[in-house]
Amino acid sequence: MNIHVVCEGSTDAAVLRVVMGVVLKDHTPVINVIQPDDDALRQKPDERPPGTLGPGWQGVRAWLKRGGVAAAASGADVLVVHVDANVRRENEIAKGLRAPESREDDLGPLCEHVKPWFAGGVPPNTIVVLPREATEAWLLAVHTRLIDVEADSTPAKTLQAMGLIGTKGDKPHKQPGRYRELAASLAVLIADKNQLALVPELERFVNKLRSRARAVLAERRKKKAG
Amino acid sequence: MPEGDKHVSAYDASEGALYVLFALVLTSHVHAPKFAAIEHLDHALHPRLARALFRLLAERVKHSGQQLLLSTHLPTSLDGLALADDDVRLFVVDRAVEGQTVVRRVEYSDALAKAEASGLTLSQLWVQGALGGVPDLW
Repeated sequence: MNIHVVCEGSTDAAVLRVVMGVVLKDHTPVINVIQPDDDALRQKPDERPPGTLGPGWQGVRAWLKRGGVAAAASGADVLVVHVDANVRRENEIAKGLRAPESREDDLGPLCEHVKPWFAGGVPPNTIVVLPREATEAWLLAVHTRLIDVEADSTPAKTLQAMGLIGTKGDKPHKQPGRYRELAASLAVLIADKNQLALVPELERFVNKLRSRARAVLAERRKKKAG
Repeated sequence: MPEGDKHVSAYDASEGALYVLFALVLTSHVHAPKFAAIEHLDHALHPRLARALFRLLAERVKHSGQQLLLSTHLPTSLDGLALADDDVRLFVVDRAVEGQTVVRRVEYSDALAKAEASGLTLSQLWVQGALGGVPDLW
């Protein structure tokens, strides 16, 4: 299965890669992280090569708005678009969010807010993933005994406080290699239904991936049958 | 060159010029193979020249009945490919999570046609990641 990923940063990509690799292991997953551009990550904003976009949710939004989304989706079995759920507290986004309706998931308005970012509309093979509050919560779920990890508003700081990741300045040191190591344990959690249910946004993502994989298989069979 | 010497040998020519001559011979000689594969034919060429060479070769082999397999890392070479013509095909070579090499055709979809109509070139789409085939440097 061919997967294109548009995500906030290199550490998010590291975790998403592991999750997709585990869930889709029987489908020979090929994962292309197309945003952020690694070249843009390594340089200061004013030194970025023309045409490259920086990381963060702003980078995701800019990538989706600039066109080529439909082409990116058409060349893949799945287009995964990631934004951490904590962006809903950013002023620029918060002011554009409607209040969730009763019984509606409180991330519903954020998901609805993200969809217009797609130039030309949301391609049907898209999965929007909104880890609550950030991707690091999934790492807390497998490396700590904390409960309700998705309620932690700053899971990266918790990882740092628990010595699972380092410190740079006074902030969590986000290194893709370390995140990849920590994410490897997610395979055990994903395989256990009960454990997975304790991390609802991860569970939702896993279910969407599985559902998409089934759809892709069905499409291929149909195509083969002529 | 010595004064009066009008011979230009292969040693005197640029590497790019030799590649172009080689490609032209390969697609015009009566004893040329029906199938040939060349790695990075465009690596010593100006991006515009590479684009023109790919376009020319695609046209020539279409009429000669040959099949030519070219690999490239140069974005503008893709812009020489008329993908709307089913005889001209683009493939992305990727590596799967567990290390398998996976080859996937970039089909000329409606989405690709629309992207082109909006002014995006194949080279731009590749560089911005839309075609896949993106390196993983992290």
